[in-house]
Amino acid sequence: MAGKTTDVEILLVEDDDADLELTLHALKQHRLANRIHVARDGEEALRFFENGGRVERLVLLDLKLPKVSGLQVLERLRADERYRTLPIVVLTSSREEPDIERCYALGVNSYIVKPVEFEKFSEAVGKVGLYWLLINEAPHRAQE
Amino acid sequence: MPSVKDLSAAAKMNAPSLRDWSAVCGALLGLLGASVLLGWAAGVPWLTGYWGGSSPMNPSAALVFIGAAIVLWLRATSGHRAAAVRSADLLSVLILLVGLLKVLQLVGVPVLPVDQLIQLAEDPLRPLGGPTAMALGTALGLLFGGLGLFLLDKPRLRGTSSLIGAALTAGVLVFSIGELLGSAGGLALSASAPIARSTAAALLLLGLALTLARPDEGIVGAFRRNELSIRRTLFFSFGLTALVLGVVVATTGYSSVAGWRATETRRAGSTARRELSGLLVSLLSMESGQRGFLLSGDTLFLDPYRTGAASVDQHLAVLATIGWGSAAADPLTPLLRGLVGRKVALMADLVERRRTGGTAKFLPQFMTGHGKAVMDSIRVVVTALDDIEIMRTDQADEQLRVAMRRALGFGGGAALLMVLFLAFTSTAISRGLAATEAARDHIEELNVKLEGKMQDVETQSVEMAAFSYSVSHDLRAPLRAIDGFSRLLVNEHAAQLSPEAHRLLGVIRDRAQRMARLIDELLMLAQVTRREPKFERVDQDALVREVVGELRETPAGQRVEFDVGRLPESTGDVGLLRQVWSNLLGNAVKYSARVETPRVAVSGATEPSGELVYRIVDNGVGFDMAHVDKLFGVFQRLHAPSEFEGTGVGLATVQRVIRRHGGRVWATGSPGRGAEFCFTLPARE
Repeated sequence: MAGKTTDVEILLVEDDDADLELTLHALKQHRLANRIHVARDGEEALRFFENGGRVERLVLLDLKLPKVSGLQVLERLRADERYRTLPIVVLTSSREEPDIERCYALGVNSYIVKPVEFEKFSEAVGKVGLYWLLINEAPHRAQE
Repeated sequence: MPSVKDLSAAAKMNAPSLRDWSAVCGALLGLLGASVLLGWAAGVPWLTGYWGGSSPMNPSAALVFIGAAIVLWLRATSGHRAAAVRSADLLSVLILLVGLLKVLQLVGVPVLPVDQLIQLAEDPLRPLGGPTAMALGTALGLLFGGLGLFLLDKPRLRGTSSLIGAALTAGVLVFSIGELLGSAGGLALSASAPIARSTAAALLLLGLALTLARPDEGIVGAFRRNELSIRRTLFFSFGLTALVLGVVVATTGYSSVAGWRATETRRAGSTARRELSGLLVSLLSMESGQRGFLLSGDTLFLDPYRTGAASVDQHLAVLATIGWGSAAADPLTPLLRGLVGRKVALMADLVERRRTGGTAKFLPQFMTGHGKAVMDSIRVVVTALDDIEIMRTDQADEQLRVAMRRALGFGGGAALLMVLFLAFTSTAISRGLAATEAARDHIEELNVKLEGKMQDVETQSVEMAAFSYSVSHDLRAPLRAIDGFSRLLVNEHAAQLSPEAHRLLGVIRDRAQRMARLIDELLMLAQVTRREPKFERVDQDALVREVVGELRETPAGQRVEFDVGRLPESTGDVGLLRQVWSNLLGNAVKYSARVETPRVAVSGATEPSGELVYRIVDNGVGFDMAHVDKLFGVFQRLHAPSEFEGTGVGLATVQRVIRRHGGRVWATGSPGRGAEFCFTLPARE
């Protein structure tokens, strides 16, 4: 899945195997895992865009990542004219106030704290996916 | 461990030497008074204080000094026993009254001559039979001494008697130095009798005893404890200096006037003596001129006769202007004038007879011897007047000497006192400055330490933030995996699992979720500590409505009957206070969930002091007050998790938030009867 230049609906940036599996499971449960690209760290996520990858609907971004952190990814994308309007949702374990404030300052669309309890986690991921993929109208001129 | 009381008692124990000196002075004072009384009774002059030409101590004064010694003894030994205090007060007032009555008598108010009530013998220095009288200085000394004794140990005027004692001591010292330098006369105040040297010694003892009686109180204590501020030191020093200077100016002024009068007297005396001898010489030259003329008839002899007559008139005119200042001289001057007139008339008569007639005409008159007799009388009167003048001049010389010595004595005494004051002032000021410098150094040292601590705290805060961040991210992910994969196992492999496996997986999930909650709450607690509260106006009514609204949506909260009263507004951090309400109301709901009709009441009030008090009362399971001290500790729980779920962090968070706001939180309750939690917030600014 990784490395190829493709158009995807969702870019999932997640380093933790377990979290990745649970997230994908939740998305599948809600039938939202059709065109997903997974990046295992910030560098990989940025490389996806450099290689001409296009995200149609949503970036699900973890904050604590090896090499390049989620905050840096967010900052770089928002600094780029092409990705300024791309919907990015932070999906992280941290409820630390500085994290939340920083993300919103950098222009995140939503900030979700991953619940520990699986039912709640699955529900949260499902709701986020449904909202951004089905309910929300994405900006069309993006990433041209 | 020695208590603070013991330490202060030990500190007082270090000062007994001065108190002992006070006791010694008091004892000597009593002994002196007793020996003087004995001396009067037994007729032993030196015992009465007849020291080195000084007058003796007045027996009344001796009696009063014994009384003063008794007061000192009572005050020192009987503590605050009412009878002793009353007796001492009474005696002090009596002493004060004796001094007051005598001062009044000496300034001319007709009152009882209190010093003459006791007369054991006559004053050996005044053998004419006059009663021994108390000097003005003694009376003043007794007045001050009595006042000092009365004020000793009076609670509101601690230290005043020390000051009075010091003033008394200083006064006696000034006069005594005058006495020592100027011989007799230094101890004389105004024209009254001088203070006896023994009395001066007694007053000095009294003054010292009063000064040192309470060495830990008042200005003496403050000086000894090095607590005297520079401002107070300067104030006292200036006051005392002004006082001493006033006394010195008054006494030296008095002495100068006396000395000036003495010189005036002396000049008048020498003028008088010169005129008297001039008068005699002129009369003699008249007489010899007259004799020559009578014998020779040569008018040439009449020249000295005439010039003599002229200067006799001149001398008489000058003598008429002189005030003799002596009762003995008063009848002598008209007598002299008469005699001189007579002599001049006799001589004129003889000269006239000789000129108009011969020898026969004047000789019978000459032979009567009248002229010689008159001349002899004149000589006697002139000699008497001259003697009076010699005596007057001698007296003036003595007065001048006394005046100069007195001025010298007071000046010396005052100079010595000024040196003492200066020493006291400079010591106190330098000690004050040293204390100030030490305090400044100490503050600087503390500042350095404080800055170090602040840096430590900042470092800790940064480390704490990093720790929390790490916990927040890394500790939750594994828990999510445990819970999530257990769930997946149950969901997707249910068929392969036995009921026991299902139960075990349930336990795993339950514990993982509990740990996640624990982490959340610990992070919250850490955040409360780290976060600087943002103070703003808080509408507590709205805040509680909001929290109660959330609770009503939980299964347990739906059953609860909430009763929320009017709550006063406060200042505080809304976010943190929200956690307080959420924890306290959440607890109230949780612990009353098993009751038939759970009720939670919230109320608030503003105390008269302005402090705000908020109360949350429930009718739940309550708790045993024996464990109340564990209630607000981190991880301290009074119930098992199986009984009521919870982590034991909530109330610790509540306490931390309230403390950061400057308030207090406490709880009361009893098992089965519900609990009441109260917290306060400071008055609104």
